[in-house]
Amino acid sequence: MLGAVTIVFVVMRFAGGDPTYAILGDHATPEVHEALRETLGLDRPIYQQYFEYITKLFTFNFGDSLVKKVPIGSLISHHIRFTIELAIAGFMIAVLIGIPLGIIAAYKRNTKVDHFIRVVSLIFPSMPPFYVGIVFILLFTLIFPIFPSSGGGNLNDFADRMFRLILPSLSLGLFLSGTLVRITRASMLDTINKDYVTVARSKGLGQIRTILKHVFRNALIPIVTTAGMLLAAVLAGTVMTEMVFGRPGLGKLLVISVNSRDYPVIETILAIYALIIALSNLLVDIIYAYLDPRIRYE
Amino acid sequence: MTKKTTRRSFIKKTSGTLAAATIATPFINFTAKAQSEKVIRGAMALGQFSSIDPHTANEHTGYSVIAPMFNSLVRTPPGGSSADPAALEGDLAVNWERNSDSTEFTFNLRRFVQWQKGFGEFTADDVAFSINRVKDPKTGSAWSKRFANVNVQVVDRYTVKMSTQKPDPLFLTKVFDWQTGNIACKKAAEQMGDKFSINPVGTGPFELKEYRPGDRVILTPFKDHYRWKNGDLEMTNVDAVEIVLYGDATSRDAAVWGGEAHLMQAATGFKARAALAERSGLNTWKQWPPAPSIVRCNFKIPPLDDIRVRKAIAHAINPQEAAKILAQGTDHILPLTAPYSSDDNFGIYGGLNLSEAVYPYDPEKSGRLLAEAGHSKGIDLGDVYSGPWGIWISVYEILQQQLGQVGIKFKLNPLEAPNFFKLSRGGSNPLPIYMASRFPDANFYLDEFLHSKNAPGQNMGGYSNDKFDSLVDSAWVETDPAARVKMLNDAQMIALEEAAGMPFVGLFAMQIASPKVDMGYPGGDPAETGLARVWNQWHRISEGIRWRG
Repeated sequence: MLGAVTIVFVVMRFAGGDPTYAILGDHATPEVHEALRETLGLDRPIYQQYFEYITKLFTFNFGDSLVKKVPIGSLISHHIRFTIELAIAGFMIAVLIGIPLGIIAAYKRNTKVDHFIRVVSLIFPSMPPFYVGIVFILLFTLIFPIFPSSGGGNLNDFADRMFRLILPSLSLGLFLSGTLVRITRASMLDTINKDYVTVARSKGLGQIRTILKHVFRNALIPIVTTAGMLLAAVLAGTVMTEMVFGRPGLGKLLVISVNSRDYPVIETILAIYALIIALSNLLVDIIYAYLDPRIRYE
Repeated sequence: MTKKTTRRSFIKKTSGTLAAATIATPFINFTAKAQSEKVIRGAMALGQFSSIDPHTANEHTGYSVIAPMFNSLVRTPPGGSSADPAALEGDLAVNWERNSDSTEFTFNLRRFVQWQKGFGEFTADDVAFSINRVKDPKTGSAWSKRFANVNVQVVDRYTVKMSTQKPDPLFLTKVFDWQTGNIACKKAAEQMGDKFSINPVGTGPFELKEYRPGDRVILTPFKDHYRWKNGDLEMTNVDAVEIVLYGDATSRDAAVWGGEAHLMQAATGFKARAALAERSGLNTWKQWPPAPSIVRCNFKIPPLDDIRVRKAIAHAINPQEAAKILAQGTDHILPLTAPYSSDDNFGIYGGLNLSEAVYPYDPEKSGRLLAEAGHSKGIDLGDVYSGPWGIWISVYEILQQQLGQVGIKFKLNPLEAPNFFKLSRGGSNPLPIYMASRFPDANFYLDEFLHSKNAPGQNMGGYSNDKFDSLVDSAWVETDPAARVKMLNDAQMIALEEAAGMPFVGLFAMQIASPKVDMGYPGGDPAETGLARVWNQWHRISEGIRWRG
């Protein structure tokens, strides 16, 4: 975590640009810019700014946005809900589409069904979510006006929020599902010829039960590993998806903040992303132990 | 024969109906809401507004978000702005007087004007507070220096006097409807402290309901707004105005073409957008004043310090061809003959009206001038920086192609705004082009972009000419309008003769609006006239806005 936030801090400070241009625009004189830089503490040595940043981060006192002038805590707490909703929905769609299709492809291996699923699983990952998003917008808001083109919906209106989640989560989920299809199929095929599967079949166990209970369960470790890694991809995907669909999530906030060099906001969001990825890796490790009792952590 | 309903079939049917209802509810809700609400949604691109503080928000476009919440002492008539500063009309000031040498301005204020959110009556104290807030460097206003030499005196509850050290015939443009002129509520600001920046209180026709930074601003009608309460105008029938920030051009366009949003502005893709608007039944019009782009040469970077090279560039550029390519068959881009023009198309006050270009397009002459300057094989200017905006990049690409034909090459680097500003204002951009409209008086434009006091700064080419500076400075304090215009014209001719700022093209942004929105401009419906005179660069949302039908 400390490494990640330090890298973010250093990269942002050396990325060039100056937040005072976002705050003052193109009208202010150089002296006014300099005065504001001083007020914001941007004229101080980098190490001093770094220690202040780390102290604030670890005491959960994120301070105020330089540009928007609102507490970063409240900014994040508003935006993070839309990102969490999108990430969960996108991830669920990827899992609900990817794993069953992978199982079917393995079960029907080398048939037309398998070929079809494998081709489809290559199409969506080949198109980034923002592209699929734009196609969806043109298709479902202009040609067939069923869905709204953008926005996250009213926080007090659950139905509205879920309705506005459909297109973004589909474009994100479809992009990620292909990877899960292929890894599930490969892992299933790897397990399907194991001795214990043959034993299960010879005991007269039905095909579906054999596939789900004996093959799928034992094929889960690589699938869970991939799904865990996909969480990082989900977070990355939310940035562009939120931009395309105008969802007021952390991703959109991050892009706006990078454009205006709103350092504290950028650094806080990226620290949150780093924390989420670290926690998801931890979760994957815990699930390993549950799925395979031979794996134990001392 | 009727089928018997079993327990299983009942459960099946019931659960099926419930599932269908659950899925359909949001669709029904969405459609019903869209049909019943009178919410005008403006679709803005990221970067078009970032703050709602009445005195520090810096984007011209962002002014459209702030303007409906505030009034100023004087204002430009909504949709009917004039280039003549004398055409400003009273707003919170009923009338005003100035002394003979334009150093003292006394404003008689409107009585019984109410603040939003129940903060009571507007008085002269609020005017003094607002001016001093802009002036205070701690506020972080880009315009703090505009009031540096202005002294504000509260004469009584409804009279305020302002004095300047030098004659200031353009003083009213400091207190008109722009960030420096927004009158904010003293009591609210004192009560809220730092939080006033995100909870502004004004006297305008719309008050802040909700601000979601980076996402949207929701404004609702302020029923006690003085123009409605006095009966000057019928209160709007609009439920709310929402300005939404879109991260992507496609979704922004889709929102407007699909009817989810009602107002937007475009600076590129005129042909396609005009066709789409026609198909969707949307209105489009041109926005005045234009944003001129002049090609400035950086005097600090050789060989651009050689006038022969600058003139070679001037003869190599072809504004007519550039305008034709960029306009795509529309009249949203026009060629310029002067840096700040006053002809029928541009109509800038104090602008220069030239029937013929000082440097007509002549690539052969350009080549000869280059050879004369010792660059017969051409010049490589290295890295040239553009801002990230589509129209800027397109302008640069055409310039690159035109200069390339005479052997003047450069590498185009579009940068994000903070980097572009830092490098260009710091003097590292060999050919800084800047496309932005300003208050339509040549004094503002020439001062900002070509006066030596702004180098380093907005005078990105570092142009310095004492005579030019002196003419621009004198024009600020000249009280005779005719003499003022002459000074500004002479200054432009000097800059042209030195090839410091070569006229290129002027952009008239395309305003797109749903027919459901009546802008309510007193000067006429822009959907019919094809032009809106709103100098703040986006749609002007004022007390007259209404929902049609």
